[in-house]
Amino acid sequence: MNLLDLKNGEKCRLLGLAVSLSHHDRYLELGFTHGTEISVLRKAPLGDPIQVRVRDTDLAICKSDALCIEVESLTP
Amino acid sequence: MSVNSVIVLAGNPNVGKSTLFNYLTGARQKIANYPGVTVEKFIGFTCTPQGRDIEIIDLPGTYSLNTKTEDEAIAVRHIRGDTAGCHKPDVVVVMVEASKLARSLLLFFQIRAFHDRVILAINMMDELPQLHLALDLKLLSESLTVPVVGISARSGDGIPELLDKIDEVLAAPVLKNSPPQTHEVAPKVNTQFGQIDTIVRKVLTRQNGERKNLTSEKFDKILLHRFWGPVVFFAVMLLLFQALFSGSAPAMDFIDSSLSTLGDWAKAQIPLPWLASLISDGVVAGVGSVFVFVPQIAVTFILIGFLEMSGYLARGAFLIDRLMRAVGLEGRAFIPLISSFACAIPGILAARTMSNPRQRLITTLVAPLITCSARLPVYTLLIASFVPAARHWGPFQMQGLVLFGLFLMGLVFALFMSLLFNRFLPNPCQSSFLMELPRYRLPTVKNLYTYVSFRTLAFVKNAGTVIFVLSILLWVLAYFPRSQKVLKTYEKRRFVIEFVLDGNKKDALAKIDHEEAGELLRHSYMGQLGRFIEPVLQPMGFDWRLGIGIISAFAAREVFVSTMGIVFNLGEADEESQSLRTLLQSAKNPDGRTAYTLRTALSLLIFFALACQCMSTLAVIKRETNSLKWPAFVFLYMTILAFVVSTATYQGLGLLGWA
Repeated sequence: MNLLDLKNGEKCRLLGLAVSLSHHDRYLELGFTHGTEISVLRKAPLGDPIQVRVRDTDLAICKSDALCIEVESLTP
Repeated sequence: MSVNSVIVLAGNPNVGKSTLFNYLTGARQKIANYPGVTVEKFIGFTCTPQGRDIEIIDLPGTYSLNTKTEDEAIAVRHIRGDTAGCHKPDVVVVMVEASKLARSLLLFFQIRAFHDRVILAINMMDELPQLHLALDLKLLSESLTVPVVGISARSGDGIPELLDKIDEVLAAPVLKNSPPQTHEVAPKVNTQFGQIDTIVRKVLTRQNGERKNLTSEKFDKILLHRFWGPVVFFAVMLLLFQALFSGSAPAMDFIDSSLSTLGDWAKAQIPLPWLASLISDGVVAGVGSVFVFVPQIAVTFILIGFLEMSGYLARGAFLIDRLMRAVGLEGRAFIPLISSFACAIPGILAARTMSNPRQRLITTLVAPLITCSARLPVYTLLIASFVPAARHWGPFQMQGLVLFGLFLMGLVFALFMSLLFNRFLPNPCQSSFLMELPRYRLPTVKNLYTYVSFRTLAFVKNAGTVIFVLSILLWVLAYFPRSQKVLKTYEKRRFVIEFVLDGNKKDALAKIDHEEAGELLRHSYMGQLGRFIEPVLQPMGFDWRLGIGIISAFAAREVFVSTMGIVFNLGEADEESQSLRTLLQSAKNPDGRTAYTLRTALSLLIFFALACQCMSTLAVIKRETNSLKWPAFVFLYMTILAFVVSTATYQGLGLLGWA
């Protein structure tokens, strides 16, 4: 599943980062490494971007990137 | 000559480097520019406890040293010290946030690979107890093999210890056996994070239970709420506009009257009439028009600065990003655009923070369309003269509606043009939105002061110099040639009043002076120019008198008002002047018909809304884009746009039967 599939408040673990090459490094620098825990906090009023928490940092990520981020859910 | 030791401050954005920098250096700072790029260099000076003079350079905030943006390239150059102008620093202080250790140590590791004298400063230690976390600084120092100091840059806690550590490191002999690892392949980020995670697990321990919700998160629940978020955002924007209009009126009036007095004094003191006029009507009036706006610009930036440094503007960008994307801009572009409501110059400078060059360019190209404060005097004059103060559609006052409509128009056209540019400019790239939402923080007074003064000074310097030159040029056009015929005629009339007539001589003489000024203007190059361009002005409903005003507005838009005062023999006039309004309303054409109607006024208002009459803005665009083609392009597209829409309005309303 990808990051966009999660609902507000759910947590997951990063499996794959398939975002476009030019942005890939930026995500890595912000801590999007394999196995890192990501919490989805909320979506913007129009659904895009979404607010997530990675390594204690709140980030805004656009929908098109969230679609390319593969995760496994940690929420039972 | 004693050489200062150079300390460099590095760290992620939002970590508090500027707060530390301001705390350490206070007033002993200066801002320079790196050659060839539009990044500011912040240099400051202070003294350590052991009496060493140190020079501190505040690097731009970066997440890593991967040199993708200008900011990162600058940071790398400084830390390696391998370019002219960037000497290798003696010590690098890397700042991280205590609660974000797991992410922010990446930069530390990368810097450590390039430099062997690094101190780790951990800021915001006070947030740890709230998160039920404890940090073992000693263990961290041993694991990283560098000195580690916990500080709170806001309160100053730990900063004496930091300075002590700087002294220690500077006093220690330079290790000769640590080779510069410039050619080593950088370890993969994944591996580095693996190392970081191991270390963080050792030093950062959670105490009694789950993390509490920080105040920041409580704020976000409301400010990023599906419904309340946009409501609060809208309210904040309204507040910003209030500041634009009324926040600074007393200060502006004070400056205005002081400059008037200065101008009059200068005129009285200087014996040569042309020089007196040049100084008083040219320089003081022109440059003065810049200074009158300083309070307005400053107040607006105090508000914007507070919003940005508190972390709220990032939330604003988050809320508005989807809407901005619909016109080809990103959420972050709204800060430069909002700033442009005060003045496009600081707005365009604010676009430097946008990392996507195409986005930055589009934002720069459309910012001048946003209604800026300089347009307000023109709007006030024309609306008060021609728009009836009636109420239509319930409570809505017509004059207020027109003003609001003009504001909206600027914004709508800016968004529309950015849509066009996005489609037709080369190199479309999929820009993604990735932005940190920092914790909410109360900005310190020092930081706010630096923020506001830098932008206000930028406005004064940039607008001031261009307007100074243009004021002189326009003065020359308006002063010469001095029609001898006119001068002689009025000499005679003065003589008559002085020695022949009875009654109130002072008023009569003043009236004569004003009439003479008007006549001289009409005979000057400016007047001739106005008549020359009249054919182009007619489709929009303007005559040569308005033409003179429009030409003079190229120095600064607000100069239109004072010029119209002179054209109509009023001498000094401003937008509040009732006499000027009356004269505009009753002005006649050569054939006796009313020259200006509501139709004319609307057309002129639209012209001012869309035309590029601010040479200062073009000068700034030239600097920021490092080219002549973009300012030329802005001038062309805006002038054509203004002409087309203005003509369409005037002719269209004429077809509808308007007078």
